[in-house]
Amino acid sequence: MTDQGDHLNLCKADADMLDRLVDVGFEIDQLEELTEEEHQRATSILKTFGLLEQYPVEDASDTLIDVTLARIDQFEDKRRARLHIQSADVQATNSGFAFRMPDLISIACMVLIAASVVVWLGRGTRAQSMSLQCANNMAAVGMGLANYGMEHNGEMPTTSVTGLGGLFGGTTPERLDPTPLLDGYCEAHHLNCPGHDGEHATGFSYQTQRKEIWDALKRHRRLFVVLSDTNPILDAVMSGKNYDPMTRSRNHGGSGQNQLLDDGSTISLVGPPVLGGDKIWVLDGNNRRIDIFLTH
Amino acid sequence: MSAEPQKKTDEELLAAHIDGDRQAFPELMERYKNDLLHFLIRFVGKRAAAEDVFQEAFLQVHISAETFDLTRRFKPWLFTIAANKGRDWHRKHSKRTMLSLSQDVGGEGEGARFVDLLESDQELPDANLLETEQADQVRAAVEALPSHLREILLLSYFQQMSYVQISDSLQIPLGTVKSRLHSAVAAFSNSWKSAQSQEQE
Repeated sequence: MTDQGDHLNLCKADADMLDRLVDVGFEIDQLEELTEEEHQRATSILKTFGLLEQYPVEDASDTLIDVTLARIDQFEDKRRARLHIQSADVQATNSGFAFRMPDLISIACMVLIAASVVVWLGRGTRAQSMSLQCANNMAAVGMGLANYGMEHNGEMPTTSVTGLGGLFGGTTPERLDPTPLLDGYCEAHHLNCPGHDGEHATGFSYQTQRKEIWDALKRHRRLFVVLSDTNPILDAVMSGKNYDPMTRSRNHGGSGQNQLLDDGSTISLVGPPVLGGDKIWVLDGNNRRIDIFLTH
Repeated sequence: MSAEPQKKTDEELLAAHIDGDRQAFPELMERYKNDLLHFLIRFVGKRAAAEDVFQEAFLQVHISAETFDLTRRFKPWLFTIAANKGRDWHRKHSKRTMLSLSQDVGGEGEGARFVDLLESDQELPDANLLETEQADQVRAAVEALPSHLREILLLSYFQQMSYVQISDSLQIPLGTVKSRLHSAVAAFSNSWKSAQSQEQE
């Protein structure tokens, strides 16, 4: 279904005059050598736009700025808290073993239960710990990227990758290149996910975009993923293998993926299924073709 | 005679905010609170929603401040962010905006002429029309526009953004910007004429 408004159009003379008015910021006096007919046409167009001035609007309330500042403060509080949530969860989990034992049998039962719970929690805690370390690594890389960008006029280190042209309309894409970051911007171990047990050395997938899309995203000021846990599809395609779109990252036992966003924050995702149950995470549905490929 | 202290530019205020000056951001908001809110009210059609989008826009400015190229102008960037947030709002509250036009405009051959639309049998503005009624009609005509046409209409006229600036901001081709503005103006004019005709009946 198409919006009906798209089918409406102006006659050529009106369209040309409108273009000229836009060029001069709707200052009719800036248009030179207008014929009488052209002047009438320009005036009519301006009258139409002038109607927009009638649209009822009210000035901002006295509290709008305060409310906005409060919202920003709230965001900052959450951002700070997010860095501590996972570690706090780990501590809470470790302190949850207080119980009473009414008699010996109960003690024995409880010990058995507790032992099994400890084993189970130990696994979970280890996974959480690895995920936390992974997120910390990503945050360090994000800091390194920010510093790198500041020292290179906002440019990120990128490199061409082969084997992905088929997914990018035949164009060889650019990919974030972590190597220059090792020149004093972050440590080598930051480029590794401790929860990764695959054949790839780093266990991270780096932003893979055509340069112009990368630039467009930056201009658009949208949050987007620059680093994520291993993307199995990306790995498979780059090594020339067939891939299963239902495959999830092996990192952290396949329980979820960490992501580094371009504002330096990290998020942990299980990811909503958006394509037939797949766990592809799309930050912005309207940019699906841009972000869909990045994280699994 | 002592010279007045030089007022900081928008870009200087943003730089000060990045450097931790807590007074800078409120001042930046103060400068644009009415201009931006008016734009958003016209774009999303509801004051409460516009205020919410206003907050989201400045929150985004805060989040992305460090990535802003301070050699560029702040205002187009702010309005681009606001337009994006406004579009997100429209998507979340998407009821398809459909024009209810009965006139044969933009059909076969050339499109409608302004003179036909505006001056053949209507006066602008109708002197007999109460001010509030006229405002309501304008609002209805604007709200009849699909959001992608509405934003270009508002950015071009109220923010006086050039085609190139709009194209750059919204990441759509220059030709698309032009054709959308042409369509937006034609649709708005037609909708206005339709409202006027109904009023006379």
